[in-house]
Amino acid sequence: MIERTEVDGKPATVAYIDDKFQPVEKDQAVYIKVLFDDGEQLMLSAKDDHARG
Amino acid sequence: MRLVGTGQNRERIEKWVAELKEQIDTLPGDQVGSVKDEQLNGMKTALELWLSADPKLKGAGERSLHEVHDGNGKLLSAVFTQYNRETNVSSIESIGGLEHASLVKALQHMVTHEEKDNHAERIEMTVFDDDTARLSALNEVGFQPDPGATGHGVKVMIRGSSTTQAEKARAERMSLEHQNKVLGASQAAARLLGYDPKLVRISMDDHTFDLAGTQRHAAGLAHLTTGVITIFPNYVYSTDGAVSVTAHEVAHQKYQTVLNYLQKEYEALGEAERQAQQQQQPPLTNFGGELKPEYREQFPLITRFEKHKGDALDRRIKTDGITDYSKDYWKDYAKDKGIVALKVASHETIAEIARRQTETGKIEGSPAWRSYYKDVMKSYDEIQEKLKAAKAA
Repeated sequence: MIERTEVDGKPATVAYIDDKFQPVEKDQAVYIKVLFDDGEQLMLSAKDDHARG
Repeated sequence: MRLVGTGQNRERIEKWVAELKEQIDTLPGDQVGSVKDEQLNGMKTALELWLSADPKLKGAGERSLHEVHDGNGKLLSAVFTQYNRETNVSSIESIGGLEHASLVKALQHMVTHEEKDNHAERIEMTVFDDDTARLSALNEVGFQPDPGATGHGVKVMIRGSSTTQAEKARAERMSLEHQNKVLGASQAAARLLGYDPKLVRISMDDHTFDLAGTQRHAAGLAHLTTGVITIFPNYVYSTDGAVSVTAHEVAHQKYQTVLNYLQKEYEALGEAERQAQQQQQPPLTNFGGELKPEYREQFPLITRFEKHKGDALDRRIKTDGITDYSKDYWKDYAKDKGIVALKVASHETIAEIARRQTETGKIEGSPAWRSYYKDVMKSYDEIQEKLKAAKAA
């Protein structure tokens, strides 16, 4: 799932993916890929805690 | 009279098992599933587990049976436990008793053995919420519900530390091991993609970002100005994840670096065109906007990437991404064909080609994408060489 949103107040395109980098719905995501409009990018954890899968 | 035994007489244990089986099988229909049924089954299972346990572990006291019987040899209660040397935790595997006092007596005997002989830091048992017979007996010998492991209709009853020293040490070992594995996998991925592995680092810090009002933790960060890639092992859950996250970070670093240098060349070309016009000199580009041959050396990136514009770009758009993930970005681009969406889809396709390269060792995708990807990687390497040479000069 891809959506346009803001991360830390900056416009960005975010994608929700699982641990195999397959696109998934938000609630199944392991990682969130963030690509800012200025070219900066980062990977966020979609999990709320430190649990390792 | 209540006497305690530890299962030394096998013949007696087998006799009790047979008697319990008979009692269970002949229970009236209205007592099937009753408290009595549960307790008889609990005793029977405890005895059976003891009979089938490894003799060596029994001899070492790591599998134990504590039973209570009356003066006539009638079984009143039984508890079977196993001790885990690695975690220093004992767990009650089965328990049953015909009366509360006998159940408590068997439990007390078991606690003495596990705490005095095995030095277990915790004894635990998982019990259904509505199993009042077992819960009240466990309470009486000092067991408490573990708040961190209770719910969904069950209670984990514990006596002792909720986390043992052995568990803490194990968690620390695993954490350190995980960190090292993540770093190793990340640096290997970088090396495979021709990126300086020394620029890949791990951090145990917590770097948070606000995503639409929800706080999220960074798993990987790329610092465009320094080239440093930071991986956060607390939020990267496997070595496969580390490789994939690093591959994306490396590819974005390289691609954005090349795009930035390409942009600088276009700015320099624009300035040169402006000066040529002022000085009434011929333009640097021909009518179609292509660089004239004599200026190609001066603008190497523009020269290289000219072939990737126009029809080549159309071919890349038509053949979209190489994985479901990158294809999604091209679907997103198809909605409004905006410049941001095009840039994002291109970035993600490059990142996915790099990620797949770490998995298969091959550069995948359509000819248009493979050619573009190779030129991006080649250009990045040349930029780095030039920077190194400039630094050494």
